[in-house]
Amino acid sequence: MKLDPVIRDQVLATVPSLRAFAISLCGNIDRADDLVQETLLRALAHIDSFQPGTNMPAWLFTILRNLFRSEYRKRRREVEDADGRYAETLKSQPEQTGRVEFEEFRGALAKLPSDQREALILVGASGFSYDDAATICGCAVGTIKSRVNRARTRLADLLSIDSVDDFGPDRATRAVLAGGGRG
Amino acid sequence: MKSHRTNLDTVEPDSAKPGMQDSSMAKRSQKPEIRLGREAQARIGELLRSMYNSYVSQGVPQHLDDLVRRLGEQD
Repeated sequence: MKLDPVIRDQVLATVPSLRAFAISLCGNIDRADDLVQETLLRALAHIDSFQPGTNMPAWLFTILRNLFRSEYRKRRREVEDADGRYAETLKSQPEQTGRVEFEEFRGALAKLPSDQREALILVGASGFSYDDAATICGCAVGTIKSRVNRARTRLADLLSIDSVDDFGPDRATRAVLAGGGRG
Repeated sequence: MKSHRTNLDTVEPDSAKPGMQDSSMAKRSQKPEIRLGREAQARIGELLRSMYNSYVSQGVPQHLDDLVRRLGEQD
């Protein structure tokens, strides 16, 4: 049965972000494109399992994320390609960020554990809610929040971004700190 | 899917929720997580989105678009 054009267009519309997610995860353009291709093949082979009207991006990101994890377990290593093939294939640099800062950020992101990296990207860049990110990653919402928090903290440390300006788990402590140090 | 705003800048760890001072919370608090200041959060979010959007703006290799269209045509 031919693919519903509406569904096909939804898939096509998701591919740019899906690819950006893959690049952010893999740190390597070639691997990312292979991963996206494999994702699309699998998705289209099982398109009947997608419920029209539900969240197509979340469905595709789930497939890609699971493929990435499965491949990672096989490889037992992260690709942290800091040189050449990665950097030179980037045709555009972020306008707001200098090249050095961009490379530093990318390198720091690659140092994160993959579960933290994926959580941070899903929520912070791909635009998913915490609930959707938790569904994609197959974990609780609280786990996603914790991973995101740890990812940001680790990135700040790696990039020497200051700083931690409040501590303490309870609201009372935060209120005291906020009242004492602001304004 | 949101393209400009993300949820990253509105993160509040579960420890910030009111009423969660019971024993289970105490157990979870045994390793308190450091929270970044707002400026640091914002900066990381900016860098992340800048990087991500640069990938999106590159476009998609033709073979990936062709793949979807070709498979979508099959009976």
